[in-house]
Amino acid sequence: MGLEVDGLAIGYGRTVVGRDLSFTLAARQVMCLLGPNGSGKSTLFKTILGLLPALEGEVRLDGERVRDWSRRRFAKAIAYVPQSHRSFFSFTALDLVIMGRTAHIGAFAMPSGEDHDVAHASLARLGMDHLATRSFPELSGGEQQMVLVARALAQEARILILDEPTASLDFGNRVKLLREIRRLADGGLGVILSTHDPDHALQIADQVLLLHQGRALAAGSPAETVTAETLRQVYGVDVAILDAGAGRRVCVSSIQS
Amino acid sequence: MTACAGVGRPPRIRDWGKRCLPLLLLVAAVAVSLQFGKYPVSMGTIAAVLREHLLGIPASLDPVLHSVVWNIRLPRVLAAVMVGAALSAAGATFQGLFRNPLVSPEMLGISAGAGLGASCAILYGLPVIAIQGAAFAGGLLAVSCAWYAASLIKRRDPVLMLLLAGISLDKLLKALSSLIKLIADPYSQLPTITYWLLGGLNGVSWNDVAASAPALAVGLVPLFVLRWQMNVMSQGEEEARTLGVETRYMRAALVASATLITSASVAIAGPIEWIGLLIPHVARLLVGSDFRRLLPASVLLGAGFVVAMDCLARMVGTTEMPLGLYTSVIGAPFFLWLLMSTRRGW
Repeated sequence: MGLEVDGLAIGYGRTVVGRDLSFTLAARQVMCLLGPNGSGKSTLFKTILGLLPALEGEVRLDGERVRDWSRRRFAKAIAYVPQSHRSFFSFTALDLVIMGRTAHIGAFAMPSGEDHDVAHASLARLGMDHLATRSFPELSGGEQQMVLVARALAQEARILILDEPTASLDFGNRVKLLREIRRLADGGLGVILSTHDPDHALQIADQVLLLHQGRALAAGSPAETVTAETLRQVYGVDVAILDAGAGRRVCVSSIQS
Repeated sequence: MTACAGVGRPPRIRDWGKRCLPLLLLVAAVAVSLQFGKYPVSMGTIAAVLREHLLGIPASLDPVLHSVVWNIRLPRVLAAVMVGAALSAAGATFQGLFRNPLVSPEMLGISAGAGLGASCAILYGLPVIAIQGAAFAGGLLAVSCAWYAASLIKRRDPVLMLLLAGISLDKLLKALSSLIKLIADPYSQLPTITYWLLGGLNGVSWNDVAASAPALAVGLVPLFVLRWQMNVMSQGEEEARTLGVETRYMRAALVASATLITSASVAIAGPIEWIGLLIPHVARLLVGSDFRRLLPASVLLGAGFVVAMDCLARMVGTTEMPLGLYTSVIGAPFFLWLLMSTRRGW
């Protein structure tokens, strides 16, 4: 049960970007999607989210095929945090989070007081309620990312998909965001995130999908998948996986060839 | 629903002032515009005329004055309200939908299509009502063509494709309009076409108002009802879909509504530039980008602006200048001043 991706082939029209992609994500699990630029991470996300049609295979949620679901039903089940959010129009952080309630609001209705409460609660859950009245474009990169996560939380979905959420964050905000993601999963969500840093996978993931040229080079627990061997194959650089004690393993890169 | 409707956090007094300003400006513009013109009329006279027609209480007035108020000035001010409201609402919708503050209703080829339709009707010597009908049909047809052309382009951002198709069509239709001007009779038809394309409200009658009012209502209601969905659509195609919006249908509904009201406006007054671009910007400075407040504010400000410009058009000079001239001559410098004097983003 949970989210099942079964034999998915992804791509644009006749251009196949990846194939034979399968995994299962249960509640309380974090899955890390690793892979170099152009390996098909974003295309896979777009296909799971139904923004691109699957060329082969299917996506199921709790055993049910999601392909024919309405966007409204889909949004109540799977929430998405885009990598960046650019808009010419400035909304307050709260207004943006309330947009996460859209699937719960009738097409002809306006958000209710309850929707406001849920939005506030989502911000508060991430410790961001003090930003509610601030204008979104004026927030820092880390704050913006947190607000987008809050918007996804306001959808009250079971699955959370984050596209490179740490990409534009500084060191401190990365750690904070990873901690929040882990906490959300422990609170009952199933989380998929893509990242460029194998160390993130070692820190928070229950399972890892290592994408290489559109295929799953390795899938499974971080211990099995994130190894010096697989990383060399995917990224073409030498790394060492070291034991930092207390069961924590770290990925260290080397610039010597 | 007025611009004063509260949304979100409790507004401060200053916010309330900003939200109510568009309504006050509209009321002031209508009050002034009704009284001034070639025949100055007092508010008492206007009230007496209204009482006679709406409540059936006979007023003993000079028949000329009565006719000026009832047959000329009232429909004209009402038409100005409609044109301003329609173009501003359409402009705000298109800017939000295309996520670009530089988009205006002219860009999708609506005005050019309507202009071409009207030019053709003038060329064939058709009566005024047919010229308006042709303008209306031309506007709707132009957007339909742009929509169809965009739908043929697969696997690209559909919103951007619609805009580019509209811009291409706009140029094509304008070229065809020029062609029609070339073959038009330079003594009788060409001045009529040129004058129509400048845009104006002189000679507007109750019939014109009544002919365009249904289309305006049918187009404005969905825009008001879908204000929240519009907010979500302005976040972009993919985000709107992941947030639970069927963007294909929503976009079709919003574009159809905005096109309908733009065409209705062009049918009454000809293509009037600037309103659709300028007014949503001013409204955004007053009430922010939230479409729940932006749409009512744009409608009220736009209506007030066109009423005021039309009042100027009637009063300045001995021969009446076209309304489109005033909205451009006053609108363009005002817009530049606005851009230079404000620092905040949209």
